[in-house]
Order: sequence, then structure tokens, then C-alpha cells
Amino acid sequence: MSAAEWVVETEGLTRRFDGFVAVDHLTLRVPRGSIFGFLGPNGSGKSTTIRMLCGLLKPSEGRAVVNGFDIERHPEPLRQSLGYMSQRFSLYPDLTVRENLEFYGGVYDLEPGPLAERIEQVFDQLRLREHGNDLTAALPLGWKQRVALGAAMLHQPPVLFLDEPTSGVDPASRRMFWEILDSLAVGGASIFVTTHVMDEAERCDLLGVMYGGHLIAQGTPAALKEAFPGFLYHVDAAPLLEALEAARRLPFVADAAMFGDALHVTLPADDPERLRRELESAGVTVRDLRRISPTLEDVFVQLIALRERAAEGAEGGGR
Amino acid sequence: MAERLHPLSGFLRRVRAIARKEAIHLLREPRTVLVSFAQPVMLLILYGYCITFDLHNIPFAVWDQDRSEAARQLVRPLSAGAQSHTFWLVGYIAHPREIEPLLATARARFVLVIPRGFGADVAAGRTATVQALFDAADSNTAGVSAGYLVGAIAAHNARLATYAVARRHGAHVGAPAPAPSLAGGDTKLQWEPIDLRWRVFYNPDLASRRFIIPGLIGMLLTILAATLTSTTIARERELGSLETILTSPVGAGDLVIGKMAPYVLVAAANVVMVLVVGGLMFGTWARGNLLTLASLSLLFLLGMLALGMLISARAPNQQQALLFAILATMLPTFFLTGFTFPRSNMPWILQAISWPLPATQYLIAIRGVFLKGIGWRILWPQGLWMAITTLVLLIMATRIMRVSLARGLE
Repeated sequence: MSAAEWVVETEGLTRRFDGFVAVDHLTLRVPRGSIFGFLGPNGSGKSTTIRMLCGLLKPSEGRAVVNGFDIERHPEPLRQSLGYMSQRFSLYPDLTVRENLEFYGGVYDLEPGPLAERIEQVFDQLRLREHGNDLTAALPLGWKQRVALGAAMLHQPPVLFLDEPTSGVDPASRRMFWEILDSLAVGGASIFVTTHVMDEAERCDLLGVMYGGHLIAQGTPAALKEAFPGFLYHVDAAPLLEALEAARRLPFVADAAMFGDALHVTLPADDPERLRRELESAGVTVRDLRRISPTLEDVFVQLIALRERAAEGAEGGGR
Repeated sequence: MAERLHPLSGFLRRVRAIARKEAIHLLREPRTVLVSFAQPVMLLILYGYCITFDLHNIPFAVWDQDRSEAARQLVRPLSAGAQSHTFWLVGYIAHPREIEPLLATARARFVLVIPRGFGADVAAGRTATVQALFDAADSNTAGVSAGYLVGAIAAHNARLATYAVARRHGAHVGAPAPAPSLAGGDTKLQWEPIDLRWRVFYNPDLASRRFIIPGLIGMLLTILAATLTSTTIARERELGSLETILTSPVGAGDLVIGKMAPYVLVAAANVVMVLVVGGLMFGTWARGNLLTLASLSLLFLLGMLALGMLISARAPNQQQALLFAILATMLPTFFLTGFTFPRSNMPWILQAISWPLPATQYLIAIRGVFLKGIGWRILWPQGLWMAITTLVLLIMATRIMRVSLARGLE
């Protein structure tokens, strides 16, 4: 693929803070026009990566190109070509929705005439008109997030970086937010979004999973599920807690986790009857045992668990 | 994407957006502006009515050991009821024991002691001696009282000399003339040849409040401007909006200029208010050209707003910003610029340090315009120096802002 098809391209991108490496030699390619979901536990380096890509942090090492502009060598055109919605709320509570948008349009050099038209468009697109002249402080959180998105997309940037845009938002507002993201992507924008919510991750075209500053997996949601290592079983057992502990003690079980009122148990080899026998001999009643296809959450938990175990093993071996 | 026009038009659009947003903040939270107006009014009242550096009705007592006509002639012009209200005779005492309690309780600021033989000395043309004992717990009042008293005695000497000369020349011999007014004005003795005339320029009633009003404007602009802008960046940092702004094309220069703009209006309105309220309260109006006053004030004001921005760029939070802005402006303005203490009385090293302070030059300029009515033809060095310092402060504010924004994001 030619460089123009990648909207974000990093090579060995690294950021250190006082002896701790937040992002460690990250090499990442995000195709243009897609919604890229950036997953990972807190502190895995997602926000640090985004802040480097937006020009807010200088990389300690490596390079990154966003929309064709090297983030260190061409910061000015880079800024015009991206919209950023930070984890922290960035609107002015004492300004109305319209005034906030007018301010952000102004700082992106939009002229008053075109800006006014653009605000009307954004009002329609984000369904903001109803509270357009209300103080931002008085709005519910879901509305505020849409106003912040509006501020980030006013100047029609080809790339949007959204850092946990829906945290704390109710499901209905979240759905509306993602419908808007879908329509923006259809309109040709590239969206780089972090989230902890798995049904949001399902809606992404492409996912990247960060752990400890590394990209540990990348692919479409379907491909990631496909690549799930081992076989996943849904186990309905009683008593549940004892079943969980028993499963975790079994040497041939890769992972066991509580999932609602049942367990999700990962087996490297497809031998469910052995699992049933061992659980029952531990005094647990197995009511149901069936193979299921992994959800993204299973994939995510599994990926992180494998990493954690590897890290613990390395530490233990070192001693 | 936005149409790319001349880079300057982008700069102006960004500055306008920032200025407009700041103005809305001010309008939505009018407390800041109202406090900024209340402060100078309070200072005006304090300085105008309470803290006057002039003295009236200085209470004093007399211990007249001589009890001669000459002694009474010395005291008469000092006592109340005479032309001047400078002194106020609280009474005569007859014993040295009474001196201390009078001074200790501040019923008298000084006691004038007229020794036995005073009248005889005067009559014989010998130098007569009087003694004055001061309560110098408040050295300023004591100093000023002593100065007034020396003046009054000099005036009396002049009268005696005139009387003696007149008598020697066989002219009409009468009682010595009434005392001249201490506060100035034409003092015509009833008979010549010595005609003492003195006149005070620019501040004819020697009122310190007349001198205070332009000083107050200087102090007000310094403190107000720097404190108004000092918290602005810390506020955006605390709110979280700074991060978003920094991913936009907004630069340090845009922020400095845009954020200063609305405060120019606030501070200018403050100056107008002090001029009007001060004028109405004390009847003291600027003598000079108002345009000269406005242009000099604007030059100075821009520098002080830039100073506030500079502090703002460095301060980690709003409290520290405000504290630092007050310390950095109030103390030097109060003590070094000549607002309270004349610079000519300072040791040369302090004079050298205080000269380049823009507030020092502004104080010279605004007093010149306000009291003497002089203009740019005389005050151009002050104007030039303020223009230079303002430019330097603006450049420094922008640079420090740039560095601090780049670092503040870490």
C-alpha cells in the first residue's frame, strides 16, 4: 500500500517518563477512512500515543506521520488536519454551545461567514440545535460529549482523535454518539478512538490492543476473535465460586473467568469431557457445558491475561 | 478545510476568537470586573480622606517662663483663630512635670518652651532662644510639625527684623504684622520694606490628595492589570481546555494578545472611573491633555498586562499566579516608584534600581500631565521608555508562554 493510504503511520514510536516507558517502540499503521479502536487497560500507553500523534507530547524516539505530516517536522499543517477530543472535558462551562463552537472555529482560522454555516451543519449532524443557546454547564454529559465532538470536527479535519469520548455516558447517548462516528467515517473521515467498552470495539473497523506500551494485537474484530487461542467453553456450574477456583487449579485450563452467572473457560485442547470430569470430582455440579465463540471481551481478557502471566513468569524466572 | 488566506488574517481571526471568549467569561462572571472597580474606589477614599500626608490643627502647648509681650507675640500667630489652621494651642503649662504627660497622651504633639529673658533678648536685639519638645513616636508627623514650626518662627523673625528696620528708620511704629499664611499664597506684610512672597506651584493648596490621584492611577494600573491576566493560563490548564487549544493552530502570540485585549478595556474604564470619581470627590481634575494621558496610560497598561501574561505562563496554578502577581507589582510600586516615598530621598542604588521600572516612568509622566499639564513634548523620554519596556515584556511573555506551553503539556 502507498503511504497515502495510511492516515497514521508510526515507526518505533517511544515515549519515556522519568525512567518509565509509557510507549515502547510502537509501530502502527491505520488505513484512511476507517474507525480505528485503540484498546488496552489503563496505563497501557493509549493516551500517551494519542497525545504524541496530536503534537501535545514529543516522542523520545521513533517517528510518526499523521495525514502525511511528520509530527515533529510539520506541526503546523498537522494541527489543521486533526481534531482532538481529550479525556478531560475541554469546553467552557460558562459559554453557550454556540459560543464554544464559535471559539473553536475561530482558533482554527474559520472565517465568520463559513463558520456560521458550518455550525448550523454541525448542529444538524450532532443533533445539538435544541440546546444551541444554552450554557454548556447546564447540559447533560451526553450532550457535552457531542458538543466536544462538534468542536473537534468543526474545521472538517481528515483525522479525529477521540480519547475515551463516551466514558460516563448513558447507553442511549453512547449509541447516538457512535451513529455519528459511523456517519463521519462514511463521509471519509478517519477516526482514532480509545474505549473500554467492548460493544463499542465491535463497531470499529480495526482494533489495536495495547499492553505495557506495546501493541500486542491488531486486526478487525472478526479476525481477533478468529485468532483466539484455544477453545472457549461456557460452564454453568454450582456453586459458582468453587467451580471457578477448581477450574483455575486445573493444569490443562488456560484461563477461567466469571461471566455473568456462568464461567468462561479456555482450553488449549478441545477436551470438554475432561473438564467436566475434573470439575465434578472437585465436588461441583456441572449443569451445562458448551462451546461458544469468543466475544471481544474474551479476546481482550485473554490477551491481557497471557501477557500478565508471561510477565510474572519472566519475573519469577529472573529470581 | 479552512481557506488559507494571508497568514495575518489567520492570526487576527484566532486573536479575535480568543478575545471574544475572554470577554464572554468576564461578562458571565461580572464579579471580577466589579471587584476591579471597587478596589480603586476604596483606595481613593482611603488615600483621599484618611491617609493624608498634610497636617492640620497640630496640637501644642506652651510653657511660657518669660510671660512677656514678646513671648505672646510669638505664640499668637501660631494659635488657632489666626489665619492658619496649622497649629492648635491646647493650653499653657506652668511646670516641666506637665510636659511629659501631654506628649505621652498625644494631647500635644510638641511643647514650645519660651525661656526667661526671651523678651529682654528680643528687645535688645540679641538672638533669643526658644525650645520645642516633640513627640516623635510618629516621626513623620513630628518631622512635618517641626518643619511647619521652623517656618512659622522664620516668619516671626522676618516680622521682628522688619519692625526693627522700620523703627531704626523712624517710620511708623506699630504692632508687628499678623502671621503670614503657612500654606502659602501672597503674604503681604502691613508695611514694607521686606515683603515676603511665596507661592507653591502646581498644587497650590499643597494637598497631598492632589498628588495622590495620579499616583493612585499608576498603582491601580500596575496591580489591576497584572492580577487580571495572571491567572488566565492556569485557569485553562485547570479546566482542561488548554490541551485542546494546543492541538489547534493557536500559538503563544495569539494567546498573549487575544487574552490581553478585553482587559485593556476593563483597565481603561478603571482609569476613567478614578479620574471622574476622584474629580467629583476632591475637585481635582487633570490639568493636561486627556489624549496625552490616555496614550501614556495605554502604553504602560499594555506592558503591565504583558507582565501578568508572563506570570500566567509560568504559574502552576491560579493561587500562586495571583500571589506572585501581587508581590511582583504591589511592593515595588508602593516602595520604589515614588508613589509613597520620593525617589530623591532614596539611596542612589535604589534610585538606580527603580528608574527603569515602567511604573516609575509612568508615575513621572502621569503626574506631569495631571498636575503640571505638560505633554508629549516634555514627557517623550518617559513615553519612549514605556514603549520599549512594554515591547520587551510582550516579547518575553510570548517566549515564556511558548516554552511553558510546550513543557506544560508533558
